[in-house]
Amino acid sequence: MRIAVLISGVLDYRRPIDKPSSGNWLDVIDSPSLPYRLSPFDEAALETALRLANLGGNHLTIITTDCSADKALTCTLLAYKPDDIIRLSVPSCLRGNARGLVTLLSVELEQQRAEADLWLMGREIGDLDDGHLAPYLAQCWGLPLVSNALVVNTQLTDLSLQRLRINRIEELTVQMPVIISMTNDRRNRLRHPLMKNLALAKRQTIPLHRFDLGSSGAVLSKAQLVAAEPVPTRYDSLENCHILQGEIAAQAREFARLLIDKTQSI
Amino acid sequence: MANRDHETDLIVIGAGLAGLVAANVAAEKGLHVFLLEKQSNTGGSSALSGGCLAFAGTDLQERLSIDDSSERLFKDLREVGKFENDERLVQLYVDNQLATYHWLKAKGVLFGQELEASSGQSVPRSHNVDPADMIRVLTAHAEQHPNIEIVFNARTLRLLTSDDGQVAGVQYERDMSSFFLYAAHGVLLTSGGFCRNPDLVHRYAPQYDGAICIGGEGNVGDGLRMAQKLGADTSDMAYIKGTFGKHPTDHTNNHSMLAVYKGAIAVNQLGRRFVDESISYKLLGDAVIQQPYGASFQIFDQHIMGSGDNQFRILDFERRHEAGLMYEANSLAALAEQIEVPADELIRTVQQYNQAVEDLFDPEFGRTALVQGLGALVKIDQPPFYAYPSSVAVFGTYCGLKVNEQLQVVDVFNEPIEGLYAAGEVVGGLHGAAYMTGSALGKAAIFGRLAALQCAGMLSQD
Repeated sequence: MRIAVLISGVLDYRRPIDKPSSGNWLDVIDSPSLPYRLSPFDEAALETALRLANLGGNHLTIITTDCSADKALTCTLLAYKPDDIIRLSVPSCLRGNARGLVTLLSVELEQQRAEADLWLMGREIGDLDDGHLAPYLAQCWGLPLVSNALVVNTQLTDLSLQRLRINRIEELTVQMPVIISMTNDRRNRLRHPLMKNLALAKRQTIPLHRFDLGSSGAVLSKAQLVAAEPVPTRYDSLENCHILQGEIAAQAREFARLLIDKTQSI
Repeated sequence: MANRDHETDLIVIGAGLAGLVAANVAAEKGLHVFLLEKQSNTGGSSALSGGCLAFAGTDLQERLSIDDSSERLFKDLREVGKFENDERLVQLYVDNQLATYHWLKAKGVLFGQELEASSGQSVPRSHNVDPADMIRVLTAHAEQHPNIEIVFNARTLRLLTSDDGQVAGVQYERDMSSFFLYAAHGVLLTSGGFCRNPDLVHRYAPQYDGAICIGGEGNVGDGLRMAQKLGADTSDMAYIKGTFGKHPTDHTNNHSMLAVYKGAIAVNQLGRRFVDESISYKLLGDAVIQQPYGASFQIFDQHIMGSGDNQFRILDFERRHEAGLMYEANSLAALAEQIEVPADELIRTVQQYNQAVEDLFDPEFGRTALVQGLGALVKIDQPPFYAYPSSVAVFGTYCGLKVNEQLQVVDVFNEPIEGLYAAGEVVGGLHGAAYMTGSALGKAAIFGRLAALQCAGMLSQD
């Protein structure tokens, strides 16, 4: 089984942020020295990937995005001894832009996309993602998506997993290839790397792959983002609210009909 | 730059335990005190400490039928310091420790009701406090006392001297402005050590370059350097020690765990023992830093796991296990695989150790007891087995300015620098070559109190 885990990282509030070389704090978002740490969801995805990879005969690739320039964090990830690590330097203008990021990932990860059996990532990936990246990626790549997974196990050629639903835990079996977004759970708490492997990791050099923004028309420039106005909402007053009535099943039917109507009208 | 002059009776630099005790005592004796703290809150390294104070002959020991005395404490301090420590300072500590214990209790500092023998102690004498709570109590007293003015975010830049060379005040910086502050009774340095200054650590202890440095953020050695500018001498600089037992890659728990003192062995990445595990955790730190990758594992079994004590941070094994910091396996071979040491080597090491326990003779390292000559060794043979990654952390520097019995800083000719006093971690000479658990916080409280009494002209009357 080939496993790919996407790691974004979040800003590490415990480490100081250096003033950008330009002297302008507004440029800090592009600073290569921004300190990152793993989010709890990154950790859940990584631990799941490590546990599955350690079962033997499996291949693990770690792909870092927002945090890719952070050498200390890269070193920590290397200390987990993945088979590969790919550092993608994501332009700051793509933070929080799941659709744009997926466009670039599709280009840059074409080979991994074709080879990987299992894609793992946190249920939110990065400081600005609100859970959109995984479904966008699944839609773009035509892969099934399981979200909010707590634990993933192999079962012959399939995967058995538990995922978190409202007020319950659902157990299901899925076929690969599949994208799974993980949420944190006691069972997927990230192990600590060994000091030995950290020391050895410090001696390694992994190139940082930079995107060519000019090649993609789907990406906004940073200047455009700064100037962007808030997007007006379609349902911005109580007049557009629709309260569902009746039994739960009737509400579900009505809600489904509403969604279909709205989708067709967009 | 604005130059604004103030005058007071005593300037105390640094609001850790030593500074807070000193400010409170000096104020009680009628002095007006400026307590300058570089950070935005009090506590320094003291608030981050394990909360152990070494006292002897206390009511708590009496209740627990522990036969201890000032004489025994003196003997232990000298021995653990390998007689490299300043005998006069050890005597000063011993002579004033009980009065300081009672002063702390009177102030409302709460001591735990259990005592445990720790490193360097021939009998249990680590009196435990919640360090953050102790700092809160003493800070509250200081804030309420009309004679004390605490100035936060005040970074002392220089010591000011009068024409005759006496230290008369300080220049400090706050809110981008510089102030000159003068004190009739002198300046007391309670500014802590320098474990947060990699350059200074490297200068005095290059072997600890790879160690984890944990201490108050302000512990960068500025007090030491300001005094050195006036010719101050130093003590114990060759004996900077890291503490064994810190998890090398966990950032949530900065405290050491010492399963070795309950019977665990320490092995390196090759799966081999390298030291008598019962010695002071400072000396264990010296041994570990020389191992491959500067790291080791404490290896133990279920029996030792069960002997932990969650009342003491260093013995709270269960919490570390719950936090996912330990490796666990039903066999030594499986444990070895997890920690990536050669399985045959680890198995052989444990077998040899168990044989040594049975023979009451450890031919390799001469271990005879659990800790400091106390406690019978136990075999490591009851699965599951555990491994706790353990490296070295420099929690404090335990060395620094040379002082006399009046806590006056002395110069390189052993003459007091008039008007300049020191207490707490910035002082060298008490510990010598190694360190007894509780003697650093003890030193802060005892010497802080004594320095204040000296500045108030009441040391001999106390």
